[in-house]
Amino acid sequence: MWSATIAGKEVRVLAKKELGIKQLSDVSIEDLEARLGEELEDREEMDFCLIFWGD
Amino acid sequence: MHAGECPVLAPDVTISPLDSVGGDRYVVHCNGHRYQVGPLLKGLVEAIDGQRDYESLARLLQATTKSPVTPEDVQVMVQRWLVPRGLAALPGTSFRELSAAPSSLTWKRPLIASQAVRKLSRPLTWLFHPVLFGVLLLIDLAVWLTLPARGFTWDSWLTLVEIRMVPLWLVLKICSAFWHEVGHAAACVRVGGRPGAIGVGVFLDRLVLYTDLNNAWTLPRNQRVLVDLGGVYFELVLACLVGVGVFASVPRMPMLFVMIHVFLLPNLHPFLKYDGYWLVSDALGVPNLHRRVMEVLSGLVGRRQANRYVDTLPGATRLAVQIYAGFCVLFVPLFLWFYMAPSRMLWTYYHTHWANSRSIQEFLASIVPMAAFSVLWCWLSVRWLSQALKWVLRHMK
Repeated sequence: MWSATIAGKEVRVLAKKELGIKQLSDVSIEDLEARLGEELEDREEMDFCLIFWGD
Repeated sequence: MHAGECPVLAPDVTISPLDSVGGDRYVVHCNGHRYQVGPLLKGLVEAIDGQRDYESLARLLQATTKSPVTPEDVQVMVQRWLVPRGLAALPGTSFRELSAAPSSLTWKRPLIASQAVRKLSRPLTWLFHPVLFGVLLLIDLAVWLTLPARGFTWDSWLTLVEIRMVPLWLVLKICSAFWHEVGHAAACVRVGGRPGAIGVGVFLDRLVLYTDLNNAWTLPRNQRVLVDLGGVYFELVLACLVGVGVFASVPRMPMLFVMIHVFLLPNLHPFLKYDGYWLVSDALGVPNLHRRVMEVLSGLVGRRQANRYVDTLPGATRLAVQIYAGFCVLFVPLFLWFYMAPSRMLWTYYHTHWANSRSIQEFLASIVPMAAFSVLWCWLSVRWLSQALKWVLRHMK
């Protein structure tokens, strides 16, 4: 467990390996939050049903 | 810190494993949104029961994840990650209501409900038998090889794109697109998944049919690949049925056979979110592939983030993502050229009508039929391009 002060805030890095963090020097709190998890993209598999209207 | 504060988990939260190369990952489902998380958040979500405070949650997490988690860490994860996403709430507060999950489609409307889709696709799952797959591939190849002998030449290709053929191809395209979507759903049912609704939507500037396959995130990678290929495979089935007509010398069957393949191939497009994109993403085991591309590109322009997800990938996979990112960059000008085709068509149309009109009134009267199309296309383009630009800027930070 280690911590750093970023943008005036104390940030504790929970699991360096899991979060894939190499350096803390330019990590923002938002980045840390992003590494904890992220929203998966929508999985709407599609097929166009009109011929390309510029062709 | 609020000692003794016991967070509460949202009622519809479920967790399932995520098969990816990113290590130990899970999908947390909640209220139509899906998040990929690591063992820490997964462990925390499982531990929150409305009875445990930060201290007891930290003790439990230490035991399950072997990470030296403190009560302050738990508080940060709950308050900064789970609460804003509506996954948890603090005592005395309500769960945050989120808007609908982000979609690639500008507009969408379900046509067939998920239950009906499952009923429709279940009887078709036998089509994915491996032996049948091999037989169909052989039939398809055989038909291609016999086409020249049946008089299908380069001139025949040119007749396919004649303007008088457009209505026929339009009907064929709509039918094959629907069959394609049923193929995705049938593949999903075949591997034990639960496909959602089939619907119609607008992607970029074009009308598309789609199948909601968000449930496929819970499937193993190889099964997700099968789901990705399900649509193209069903079009191959259709092509082989027509191919039988080719062997039986039924008139027009060679043209139909070729046209089904012409409609089938663009689905394998790997850069926009067509089947090819999902195929690359699932084959590599890298979800959110476009975001990974932006991580690679932002690194190239000197905005290298210290904690890029792409850096956590195994070497070969990371290299594959970097190569894919390179092709994406090459694809952008090509895409914009084709995407702007309607604008060139509109320019020619308006320029011709302006030149042939004797007054402004005559010009305005002559362009009425095209005005609605022009407004719609411009609106879709501006909307999509601004969204794409915002997305790129956000991920280039």
